[in-house]
Amino acid sequence: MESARDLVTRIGAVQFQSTVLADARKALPDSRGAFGGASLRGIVVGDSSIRLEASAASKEEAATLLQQAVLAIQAAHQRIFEPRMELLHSVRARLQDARVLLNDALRKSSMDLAPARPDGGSIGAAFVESPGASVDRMLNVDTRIALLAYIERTVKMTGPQDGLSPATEGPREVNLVQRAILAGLGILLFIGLLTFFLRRPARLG
Amino acid sequence: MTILAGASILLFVVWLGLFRSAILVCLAFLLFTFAWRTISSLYIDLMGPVFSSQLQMFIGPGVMTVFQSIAYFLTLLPFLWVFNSRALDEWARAAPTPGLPASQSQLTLSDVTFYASVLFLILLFGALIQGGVIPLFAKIERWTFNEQASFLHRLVVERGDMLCFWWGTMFVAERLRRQRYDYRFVGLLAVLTFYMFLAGGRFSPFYRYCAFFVIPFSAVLIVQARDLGSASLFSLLPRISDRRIVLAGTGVIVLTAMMIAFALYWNLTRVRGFEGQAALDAFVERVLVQPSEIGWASYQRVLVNGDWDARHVFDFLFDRPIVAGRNTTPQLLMSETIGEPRTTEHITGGFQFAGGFPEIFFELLGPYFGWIFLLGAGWLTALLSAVMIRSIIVERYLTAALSFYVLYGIYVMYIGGMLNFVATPTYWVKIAALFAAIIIEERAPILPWVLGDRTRLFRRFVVRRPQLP
Repeated sequence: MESARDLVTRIGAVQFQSTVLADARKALPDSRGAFGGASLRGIVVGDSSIRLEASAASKEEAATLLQQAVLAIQAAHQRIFEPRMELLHSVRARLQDARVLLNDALRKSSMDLAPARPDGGSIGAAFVESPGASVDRMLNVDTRIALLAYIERTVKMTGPQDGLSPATEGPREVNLVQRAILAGLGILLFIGLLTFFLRRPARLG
Repeated sequence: MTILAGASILLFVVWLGLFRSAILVCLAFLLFTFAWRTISSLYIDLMGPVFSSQLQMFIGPGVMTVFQSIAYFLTLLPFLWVFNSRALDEWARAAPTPGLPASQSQLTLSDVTFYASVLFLILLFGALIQGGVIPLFAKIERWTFNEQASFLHRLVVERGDMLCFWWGTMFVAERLRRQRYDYRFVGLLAVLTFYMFLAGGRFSPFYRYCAFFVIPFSAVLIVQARDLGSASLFSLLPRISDRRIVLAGTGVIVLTAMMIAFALYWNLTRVRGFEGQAALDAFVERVLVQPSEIGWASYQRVLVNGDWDARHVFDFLFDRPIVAGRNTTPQLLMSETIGEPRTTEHITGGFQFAGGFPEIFFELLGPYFGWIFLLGAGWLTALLSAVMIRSIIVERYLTAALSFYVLYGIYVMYIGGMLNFVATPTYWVKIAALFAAIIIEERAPILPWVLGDRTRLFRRFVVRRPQLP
């Protein structure tokens, strides 16, 4: 599973940014000089939802950038969730909504405003105008439902795992040499203690 | 080469039986598995390619048996050093003086164990009858029954091994203290195995319970070998056997073998619905292919192709397995062999493939460093076994029980490759408790053999009785 924080980290990675920018340039009919100074970022909104923000010189460029970002996230999720098809379908459905909305927005050349829920929670894929910044466009990519579904399944399968997820993604950074040395020293200490007690006379209490 | 390696380990087991009987009995649980897996590996290596229905692929031929046998030797060699004749003689001299007059008025630890066990077994059978479903007659799999079974049944499934070890310890204690075999505990073992037969057990529970019951008997062999000079089975037999124990032992072995044969036949033909040749094929595959199939795939991956990723394995085993809280090694090996989707399906359904040791050491530590840790683990196992057996001899029963508890995690490692048990805090609590017990019981036993005097207890009861309202 990819948490909101992991997803935002992924979006911030140089490789992800350059891939999305390259795809966005290809997607735009006339991309000469386009996307100069454009940027993309993700913001953690909750445990299982993020806000995706694109900054560009025009609405069209920002929307294209967001669209390609969604596609890239979709591709990444496909790789992550491949073995869990049910979940993949769930995530894909939510991202599909976002893509449809973006396509509509691009076709109409207008940005629809979507009302936020009074409790501040997300209402699904929404494309909202960022107040006070005419060229910034935001997209709430709501992965809440999909991720929640996944979390429920994970908990059912694994019990408490301290929030850790199955190894469907690359391993975390662990100093294996250090761990191996520690394990070796632990075994030696254990052996030493047991040998010490075994060598003491086995007298009856 | 393969035949030489496989035959060496099998002959080594026979040699242990003849000339180091105490080690053989102490290792009864592991040696049976080692021998079985060696035979399975030999079959795959020599008869391969053979089809594995679980892996959906052909496996073998190869030289897996060579690597596996070396790993087994590294595990067993420390026992020869730790259980050396000088140490055994010293332990034997610390045993309680044999031939003490038996006092029937004493209430002993084994009496209390027996009464509590009888009560437990009555409740267990009561729960089975009250539940209305007896898996043997209802023709259902044991894991299906386990899901809906009573608390007592689940307790037996989870703690039955410990219980049988304790019964075996009490059986041995009577022998060491009173120079007699306490057949009450053989009876308890027979009743429990019969219960597991009714509950759908095929082989594993019978093997485990009998092996854990027998392990403490190593203490009797060590004590009886005192002053013998040679600890060979031939010289020991006259000291440990009388007509009754030979009859009882033979009876238990024959009955258990018959139950296993019937349970396997019943499960394959009536529960799983195999017919004729298909049932025989399923049996042969279970006995000769499945114990080592996952090991063969791992051996091919790591030792032949040099394909191992320690970081990924560590992450999977200790941080992000498919199902935490269980043995994560089969999950990894299955996932690497049959893919994650099928593994998830099996594991969440409560089913896993057999095997895991020694291949998990090579998966995690690579083809070179794995050997060092194998030797370390063997050394640790030998020392813990020694502490356990010596504690039984000198009547430090709590130390013996805690040693077994700590050792149990290592047993699971040798059977199913489990490594994540060391990452659970409770395991370290057990280790701390063991050392505390060792230190305290060096002064005085926490669980003494004689708990009280029956006559005195009875008198107290009689005196107090009139005072009751």
